[in-house]
Amino acid sequence: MPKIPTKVSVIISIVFSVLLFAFSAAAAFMIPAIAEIAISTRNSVFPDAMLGSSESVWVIILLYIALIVIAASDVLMFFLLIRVRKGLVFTDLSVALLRHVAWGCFALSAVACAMAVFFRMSLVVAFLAAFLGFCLRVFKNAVEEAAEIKSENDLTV
Amino acid sequence: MIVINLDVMMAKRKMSLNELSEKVGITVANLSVLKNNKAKAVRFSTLDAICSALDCRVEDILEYVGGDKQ
Repeated sequence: MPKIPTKVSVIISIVFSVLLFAFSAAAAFMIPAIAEIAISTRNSVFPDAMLGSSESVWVIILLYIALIVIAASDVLMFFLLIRVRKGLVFTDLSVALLRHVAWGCFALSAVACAMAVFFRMSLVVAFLAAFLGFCLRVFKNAVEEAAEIKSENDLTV
Repeated sequence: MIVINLDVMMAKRKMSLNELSEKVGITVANLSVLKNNKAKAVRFSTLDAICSALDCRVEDILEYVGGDKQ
């Protein structure tokens, strides 16, 4: 597969970020329907432990919290991609953006853990989100070190 | 910490930053970074060029100031 030029790759990432945000905005209107489908599917599989209307409210709330976290993280990644495009990658602000996105992943993991009360499979989502947050934290540490090295290099006369 | 006494030597030699920049071959911006103690490292080649331009020794430019003297 041919290598995509860096600038084109960044633009592709920016487009994906915008599309993800648009999808998140559309999903905000579909969450009640999604929750209803998920609950009815679960009730058909586990008829002995059916979820009622009060539980469905909690499912909808948790889904909206997850969507807000995803949308906020997407906005932060969009700002980070803009900085990448300007050549301002190894800076303190980029490190801060990565840190916040990593914490967003951990928050998503916590929401998925809460969702596990109703849907056991969401524990898989919780684990994946926590792992992604961990990967982002390691990457943040690497960028932080690179920022320090760049700063020292820039201020070498 | 290391203190840069570049402005002292420039005043003694009556040399402006622009003149020193032309003689040393470093931009005025980088010399300002050095003069204002913002630099994190200095190349030997830069020190060599500055001492040559200002006709001075390294210790005239660089001074170690210990913690108790700050």
